[in-house]
Amino acid sequence: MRRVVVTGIGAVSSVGLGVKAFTDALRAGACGVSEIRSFDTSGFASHRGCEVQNFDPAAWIKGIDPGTLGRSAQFAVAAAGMAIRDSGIDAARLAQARCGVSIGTTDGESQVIDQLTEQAVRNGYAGIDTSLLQQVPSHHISFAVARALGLRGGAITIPTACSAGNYAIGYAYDCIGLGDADAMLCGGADSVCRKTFAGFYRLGTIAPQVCQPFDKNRKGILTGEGAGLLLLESLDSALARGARIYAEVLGYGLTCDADHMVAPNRDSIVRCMRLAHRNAGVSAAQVHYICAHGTGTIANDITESGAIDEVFGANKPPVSSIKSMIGHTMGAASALASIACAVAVQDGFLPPTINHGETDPRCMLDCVPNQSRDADLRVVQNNGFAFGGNNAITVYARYGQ
Amino acid sequence: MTIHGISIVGWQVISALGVGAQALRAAPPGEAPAADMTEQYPQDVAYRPARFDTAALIGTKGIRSIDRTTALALCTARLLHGDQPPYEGEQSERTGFVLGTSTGSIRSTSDFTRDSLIQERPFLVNPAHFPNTVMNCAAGQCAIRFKARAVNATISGGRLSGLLALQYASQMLRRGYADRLLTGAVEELCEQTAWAHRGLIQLGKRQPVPLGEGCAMFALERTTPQREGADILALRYGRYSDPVQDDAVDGALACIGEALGQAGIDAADLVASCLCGAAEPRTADIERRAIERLPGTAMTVHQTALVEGFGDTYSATFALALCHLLTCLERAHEGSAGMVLATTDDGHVGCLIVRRAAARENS
Repeated sequence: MRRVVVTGIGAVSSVGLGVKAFTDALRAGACGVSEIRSFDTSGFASHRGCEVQNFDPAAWIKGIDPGTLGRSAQFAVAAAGMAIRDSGIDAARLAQARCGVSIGTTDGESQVIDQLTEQAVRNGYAGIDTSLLQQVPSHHISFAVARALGLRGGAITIPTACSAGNYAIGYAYDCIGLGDADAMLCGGADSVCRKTFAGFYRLGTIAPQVCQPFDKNRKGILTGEGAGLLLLESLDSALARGARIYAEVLGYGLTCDADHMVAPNRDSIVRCMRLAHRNAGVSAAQVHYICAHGTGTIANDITESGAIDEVFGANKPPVSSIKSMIGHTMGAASALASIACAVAVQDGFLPPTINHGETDPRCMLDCVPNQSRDADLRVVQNNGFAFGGNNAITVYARYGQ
Repeated sequence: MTIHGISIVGWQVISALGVGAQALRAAPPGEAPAADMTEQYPQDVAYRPARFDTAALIGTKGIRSIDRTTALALCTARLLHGDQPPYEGEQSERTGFVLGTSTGSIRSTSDFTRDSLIQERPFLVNPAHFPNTVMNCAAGQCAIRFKARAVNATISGGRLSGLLALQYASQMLRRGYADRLLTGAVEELCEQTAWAHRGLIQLGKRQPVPLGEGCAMFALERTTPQREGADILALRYGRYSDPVQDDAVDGALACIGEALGQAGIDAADLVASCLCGAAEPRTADIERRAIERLPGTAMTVHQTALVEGFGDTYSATFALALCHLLTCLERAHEGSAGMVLATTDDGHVGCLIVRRAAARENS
């Protein structure tokens, strides 16, 4: 396997657009919560989410007509452009190289599906706006990125729900490591929609105000949206062009619970962490920070803490959840969290868990409450779990010999 | 280019042509009966529904809340897994599912939103149906039923979903993350897909072909001398042309050329090819012209018969075409190779070359 590094980052999030704004927000412990505008929240007792407001597609999207794209694809294309510019790579050269695209998502173009459904409810199926139909299939998210940037290496969308970003990064890492690709744009994208909000609300897991992972008084998740894209390339190629290296991708692990569609499974998460460590060639003791899945539900927080406890024992590193800041961005979640890992390693800080009052005694972790901290980080781990029992954990390290 | 190194050691299928690989062998595409659908479906479209009995195939336990996409996947997986008990121990941790779909069950997702819109309160949705609205539902349910706890992935690629699932699974096997991956693609026929099909025909984006559904799954393992089956000799995928500046036929030919190179054979060595683009005007044309320009081949080309028999099965198109190719190779002489080709109108091309394993079946 060739070594693989992160050399470009694009972030579209409720706390900022672009890697600098996103990093500054993580450092500052910014909160991306606002009143939901994507759909009419009348009839729900909660109306808050973490939307990317004031996103102007035309300002960020080149090479493809933004009007032909759903919101998730718009986020992805915008983030891809940011990642390319951030990497300093020659876009024309990249278009000639073997550069592919892999993007994870939970709901794909859910806003388009919501819209078509509403039209069908009002006017019958015969009255739907057929021009929206081609936006529906989720592969368009990655295909749109390939088209906008003229990339030739092949595009793939991986809709493995809320760990999909890690799946996509893992796939990209393998493509480069095996020598099948020179570079990959990878990550995740999703947009806020009625369907997901209504579902989580019905399950009683939508927080009324803020998201408080690992807090004794947590109330649940806030649905969020955005995209996180990373440019990965081989270490050799990064060194040859003198690129800034955010972090090295050491490896990843995938496990499936094969147990329950919704409830997280501690044993399976433990197995996933150990697999990720083994594949990355590190021991638990070497991990300096865990970017948690940390949704802010009781089920997740207790299961995840328990699994960390089992794997790390008395030597638990700090564990924080950026979902406290950007909400649960679904398919983008583990991609934006991977970006948090990369900038944390590069800049030497621990992103905080904000909105934190009192740590749940069942989650005995240092969750980096409320304020970021300076830290010398070498190896970090990013947890992603999902409906369907799809666990995916990526491991990153500061680049060094 | 490296040898692909992955083999198909078993496969199963459910489609309009019947339940199981045996049904497909007995009923070549092109002969599926048309079916009348209820009045909720547009009546100016022809249909190719798959007729299968979920309870008879997988039992009645746990099927109350599953949707048609998941039912198709579970039933196909059951056919492939046979009457064996679920995986256990080490085998459970080394076996997984990789499933292609571009939307998951669009009926589940759309109906869930519909409930939120039409119920007295917007949150009066059925929580038991919420897991059906994520695209990885079918793969997750397959894992649960058969206790497959290794890699579990859902892959979206439109008409290329089956190819991309095979590509993803092959990579996972090459990296050693799993030993056996049940890999395929699924598409359901429902009111939503029917009205979308009709709308796309009106827009000129789809041919007025029948609409179908189905699921195909292939048991993939790293090639070993002991196993029977079909070897994947080549799998090439990329965006081989840009619709603005390049010729799409050249792009398709470049992909085929790379695949032949990886397989180490000539076009003349192919006995059959299955083309996936028949349901769309542009891709149908690209693929046909690319095949016409392949030098020195006398292979049988299957295109319109596939869409006539299976109907347009969108995400399942490639996987069902591969099933058909495998039945063709079974009828051909041992060691015969064939190709499945798929293109998109924005330049993506996928090409798979498989060979019926000869020597091993004799041993």
